[in-house]
Amino acid sequence: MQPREQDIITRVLNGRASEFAYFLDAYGDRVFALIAGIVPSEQDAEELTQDTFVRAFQRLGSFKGDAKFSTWLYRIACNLAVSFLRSRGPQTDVLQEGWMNLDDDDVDAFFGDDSDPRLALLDTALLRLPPEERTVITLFYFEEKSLAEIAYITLGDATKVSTVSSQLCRLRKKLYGIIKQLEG
Amino acid sequence: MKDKSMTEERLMQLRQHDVALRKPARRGPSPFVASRIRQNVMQRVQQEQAKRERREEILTWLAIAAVVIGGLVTLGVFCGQQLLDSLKEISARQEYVPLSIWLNVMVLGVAFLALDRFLRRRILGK
Repeated sequence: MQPREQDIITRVLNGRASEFAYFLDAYGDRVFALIAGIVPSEQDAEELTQDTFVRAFQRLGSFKGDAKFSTWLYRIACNLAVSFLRSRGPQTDVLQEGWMNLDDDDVDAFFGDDSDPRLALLDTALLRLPPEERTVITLFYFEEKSLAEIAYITLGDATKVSTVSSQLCRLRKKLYGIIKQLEG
Repeated sequence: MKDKSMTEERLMQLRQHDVALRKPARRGPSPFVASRIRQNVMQRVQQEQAKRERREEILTWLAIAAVVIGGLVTLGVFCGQQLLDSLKEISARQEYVPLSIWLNVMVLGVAFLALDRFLRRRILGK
C-alpha cells in the first residue's frame, strides 16, 4: 500500500471522514467495473458500488494492511456482489454431463477468436455461471489480477493459488460447455 | 491431475491467448453515474461518521457513569465507615485531606481512562 493511503486511513479513523473521498476518486470506477462484470444490471452495480465504499468506511479500522487497499476493497465488492446474486436465488442452468471431457484444442480455438457472434454467445454464457465462478473469471480476465490476489479476494487467503489455478482451468472448459449447450 | 499442475505462467499465457474472454470487459460508469456514486457515498459516510461520534459520546458517558458508580460502591463496601470517620476527624481538626483519599481519586481517574480506551477499541475498533 502507498504510504499516503495509510496516512489517509489514519486521518479518516481519527474523524476526518471527508478525506475518504480520496478512495472514491482513486478506485470508484474500477470497483464499479468489477461489480458490473459480476451483476448483469447497471443499476444494481451502482447500488453495490455505493454499498462497497460505505462498508469499507465502516470497517476501515479492521484493515490491517496485509494486502493492498484496492485488493481489500475488491474483496468487499465481490462478497457483496455474490451475496446479492445469491439472495436472488439460483439463476444458473444445469450443465449437461461430460463437459469435463471436451477437447482442450477446441476450447483454446474458441477463446482465441473474438468475432462478434462469439462474444455475444460468451456474454450469455457468462451470465449462466454461478456468481462465485463469474467473479473468478472477471478478476482474472477483466481486472487482470494475479492468482494470489484472486485467492485473497475470493477465498480470503492469498496462499491458495493452486485452488484458483485449477478453478480457472475448470471454468474455461465449463464456459465452453455452456456455449456448446447454448449452440446445440 | 493435469489441471492442477498448470503453472501461473501457463495461465498468464492463456490470459493473453483468450482474447474472447478479455473482450467483454471494462464497463466503467458514465461520468454522471460516477458523480452520483461519489455524492451518495460521501453523504452516507458523513451520516455514518455522525452516528459514530454519537456512539462515542454515549460510550464516554457510560464509562464515566460505570467508574463513578463502581468507585462509590467499592468505597462504600470496603472503607465507607473509615472514610466517614476520617472525614469527620479532618473537619474537626481542620487538617489537610490525607494522601490515601487523593490516591483513591487518582486510581479512579486511571480506571476511567482505561475503561474508556477499552470500550472504544472493543466497540468502535479504534
